[in-house]
Amino acid sequence: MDDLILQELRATNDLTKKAAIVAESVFNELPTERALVARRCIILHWFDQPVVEALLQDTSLRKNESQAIYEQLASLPFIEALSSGLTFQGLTREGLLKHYTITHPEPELLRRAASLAAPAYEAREEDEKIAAEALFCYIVAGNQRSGMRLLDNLLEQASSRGDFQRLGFLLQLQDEAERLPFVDPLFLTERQWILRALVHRIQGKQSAAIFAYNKAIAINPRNPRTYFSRGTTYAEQAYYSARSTQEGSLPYTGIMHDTLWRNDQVTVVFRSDIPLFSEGNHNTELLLRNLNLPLQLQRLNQFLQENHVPATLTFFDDNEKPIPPGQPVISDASNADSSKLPSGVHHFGLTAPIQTDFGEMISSVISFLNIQKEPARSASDTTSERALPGNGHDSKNDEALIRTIVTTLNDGLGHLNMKSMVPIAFSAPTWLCGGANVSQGCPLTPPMPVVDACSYWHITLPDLNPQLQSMTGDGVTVFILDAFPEREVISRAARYAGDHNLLLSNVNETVSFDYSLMSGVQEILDMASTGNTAVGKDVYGEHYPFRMADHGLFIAGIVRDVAPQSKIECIRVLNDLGVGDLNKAVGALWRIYNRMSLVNPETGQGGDLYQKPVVINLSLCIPTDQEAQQKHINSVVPGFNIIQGDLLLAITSLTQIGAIVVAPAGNEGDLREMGLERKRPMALYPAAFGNSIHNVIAVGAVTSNDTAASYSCYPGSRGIATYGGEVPEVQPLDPPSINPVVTIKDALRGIYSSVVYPPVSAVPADPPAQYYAAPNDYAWAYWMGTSFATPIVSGVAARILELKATGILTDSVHDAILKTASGVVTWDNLDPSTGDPVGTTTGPMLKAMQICIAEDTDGDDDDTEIVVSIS
Amino acid sequence: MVYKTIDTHEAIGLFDDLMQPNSQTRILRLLGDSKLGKSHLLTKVFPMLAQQNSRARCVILDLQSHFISEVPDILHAICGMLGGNSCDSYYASHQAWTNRPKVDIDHLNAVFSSVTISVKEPTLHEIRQRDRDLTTQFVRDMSRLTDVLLLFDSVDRATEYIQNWLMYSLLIQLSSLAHVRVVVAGRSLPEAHGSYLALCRSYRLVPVTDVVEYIAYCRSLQATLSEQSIRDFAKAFDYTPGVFVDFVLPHFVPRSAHG
Repeated sequence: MDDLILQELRATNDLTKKAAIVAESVFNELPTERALVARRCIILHWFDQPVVEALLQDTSLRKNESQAIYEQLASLPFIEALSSGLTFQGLTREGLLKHYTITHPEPELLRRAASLAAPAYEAREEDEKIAAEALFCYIVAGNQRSGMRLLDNLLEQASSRGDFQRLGFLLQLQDEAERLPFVDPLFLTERQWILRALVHRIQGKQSAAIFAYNKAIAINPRNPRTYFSRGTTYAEQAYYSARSTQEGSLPYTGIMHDTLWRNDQVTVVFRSDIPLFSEGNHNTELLLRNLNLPLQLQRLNQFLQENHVPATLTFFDDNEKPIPPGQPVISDASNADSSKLPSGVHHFGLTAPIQTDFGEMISSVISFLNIQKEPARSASDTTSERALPGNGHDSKNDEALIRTIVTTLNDGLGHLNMKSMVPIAFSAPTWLCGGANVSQGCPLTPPMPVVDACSYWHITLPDLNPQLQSMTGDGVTVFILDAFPEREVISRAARYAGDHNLLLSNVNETVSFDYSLMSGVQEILDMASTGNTAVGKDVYGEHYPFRMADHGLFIAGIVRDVAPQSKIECIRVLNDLGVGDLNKAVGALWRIYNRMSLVNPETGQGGDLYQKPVVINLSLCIPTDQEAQQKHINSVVPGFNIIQGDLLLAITSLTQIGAIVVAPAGNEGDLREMGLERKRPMALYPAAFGNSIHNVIAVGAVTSNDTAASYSCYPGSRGIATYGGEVPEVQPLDPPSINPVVTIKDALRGIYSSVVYPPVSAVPADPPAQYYAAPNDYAWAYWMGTSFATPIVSGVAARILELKATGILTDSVHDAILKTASGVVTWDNLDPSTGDPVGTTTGPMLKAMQICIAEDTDGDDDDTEIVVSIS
Repeated sequence: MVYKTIDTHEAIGLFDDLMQPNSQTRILRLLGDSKLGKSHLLTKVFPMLAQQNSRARCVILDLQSHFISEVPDILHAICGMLGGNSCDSYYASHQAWTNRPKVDIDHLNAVFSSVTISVKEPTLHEIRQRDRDLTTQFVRDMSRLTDVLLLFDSVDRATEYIQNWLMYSLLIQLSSLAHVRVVVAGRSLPEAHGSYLALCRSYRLVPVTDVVEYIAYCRSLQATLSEQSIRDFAKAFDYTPGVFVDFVLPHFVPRSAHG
């Protein structure tokens, strides 16, 4: 026997097959009918003595022998004992099933076994687990009628409880049976197919769900709801598919990208001396006719061609059919097209003109333009040193082409303005912007789950004066431009959290979310143009990208808490990786500007926010001059800084008509990254506009001890600081660990809708560190940084605007915000460029604390925890 | 009784350490492919060692989805095996959940025919809430017991929901109890959660290539196999001890010597 078996074993490398050979060798030594019973058991997931008894039916074995046979089976080494009976060890069953269905097919053996066992299981159908095995057996046995009946019953029972796990299990069981080559599938009803589709959707298997909907439609083509559901599933599939593609290509650790701009667009800002509004009239049409954007674009393209730049600029609308540079120029200023505002073009009015070297600017027209690359030039074409191979998809070449276009246009500002008569203020790349400085990589840490049992973490402002204490932001609209989870995700998180998170519930019910500027699909499409840029830092301060769709939601929660009656509108301008571009950000600001205008040019109606109080929370940053220089871009042109220019114009216009803009100073003083030699940097832009633009408020962060947070940039002399938390403690500190223990002592708690959290450490792990599941459904997370100090001030700004509307407050809002400060914070170790000779200065600090105001009585924890260790 | 094994010294060493009263380890993660001995260790060797060397009450649970599909199944099974009044809080809570007003069946039917998952989710939420609640009560019960050893086998064959619940809910809570020890085993396991990482050891079983181990095993069971045959079979079974045992035990070991 030894040699024979050895020979058989050596003939295969498949361990399941070897396990089957072993089992067969043991069966062969059993008496024939006992061996038959043993082989019959192979098809069963588990069996007990009554089942074995049923399997004896067509043998000469008697019922009273079933116990002995059962005990004999139990003694076999590849049969395992369960609390409810016996089961074949997984590998052995797998091998034997393969053997009897593929290698030496004996369907009758298995079919007969299933047929005999099914009633024995079904006799105990009150236990759903046992009944499920009966279902499996009926399907294997080919007993359609009993299978259908039982499936219906079991699905009904599970669905009546909404038990999707059980539903999924039953469907899995059915699939397993039907995968056996000799088994005919059940003929399902429309309802069963719809149930299958539902389960697949819940499991995130859209393709399987669509297949099931198709089956349901084939049975009943007149059910409109099925079509609707299938359509929704298609949409989900497109979304998740695009997303997973993007995630699949996501660099995971140790990546610090150096992409500062989109590689498929540039920005051109035109100036006009025609005011956007005059004497109650909106002059958009007049301004555009006068400016004649198509003509200007053609002149710009002509100029680029003359300078051998291998690219053509187009409006977004004209992307498919750009005007060739060689075509006759459009000279008719009254051309009908010239009065239309092309897509991607935004105009802002100024109450006081800006004097530029080439004329006055009372209105700005910020144009985001596509670039169309021309075919590569031949080797013999040496007409320009600037000429670059602009074709193909090399991102470095694309980046260089953008630089060439921008430099050419900015170097030619004099020529363009004075000779070509193009009223161009400047050109710039379409800069990326982010949840923090995109090239530096922030926020400060990944979010981390809160496990305390509290239904409402509330921010108190103990030192605020009584008048402001009583304000709620009523009548004030607060816009939040940021990254946001899909609406469905927020609603779902709110439903799961229920009473465990009253703030999320409130936000879900009262806050509006606008995804029109950056839909989920658009986000994916844009990624290709931004070099898949992503930002983030782990708990060691190491750069690594992570999904942060909740960045904006966290902020919305804080605003909702501080200004509970304000109207909050969230506009998605950053993608889930915390990155956007100024096309989106300026586009969102333009929409707000239009709504605050006497006439909204987008609707032709009066602006619904005309002369109404508005706060804009901009928890995002743009690149710095230094970074632009590193990329060989000269950021300064006559009259403008081309990095800040378009945001400067948009924000200036907005603040001039009453909007309050609140922005984070930035987290770039991070000691973890810069070491003890670090200097605390000045605020990043747009927060830094606060130094020169009234009603732009830069916000720095302090710890719960009211000292300057180690990482916070200095918000400037016209900025303010409030609670933003401190970097958590990490063990071990050095060397960084794959699984550090993180002790959070000082962080804001805010709403968080995702069911997973990013890994806390970027240290390469094998297998790579994965996102981990939230430990509960409460949807509270810890996060820290100036991004989250900012909405506290936004909320306070809303309260001040409400108070101001009563006429009690005469101070400007900016001054009133600074006066809310109850303390002083010392900003140490300042960068010398702040102008302070000793590197230290002080600034106003608004005291804020977070307390639990609604204990979660049915939470998992009885005690409220202050310090939580997680990793 | 002594269960014979083929080179599980290291795993047994880790288990011994786990069972020390002052051990820094409270959770042992046992990984390895099929037939490398996980189930044998969990269902036979560890319980026997626990019985011999400690007073811990031992509960073994196979989490394969065919036998266990819901959290209450698991908690009920553990409580049943612990017996007595071990799980009063859990049973009371379970009773309360069972007696809660049932979900409106008509409503749910309507939900399913209308094919909107959004309306269904509150029920899903309720299940999750139930599981959290029952887990909390169960852990409360465990906190009142003396030494307990929980052995979870075939974790990889549990549903994803159960795997996540085990690793990221139950173990997080149980790891705070100094008198509870847990072994989880599977071909693969979800990552340990950071909250108990310091209290957790992982060990991966691998094929045993040292033939001496097989020879020693056969000798200890008085197997009627020559040394050369042992070598041949060990190799033919790709040095996978489980399959080797499945073969040798019924064919070459006297019944009286079966472990």
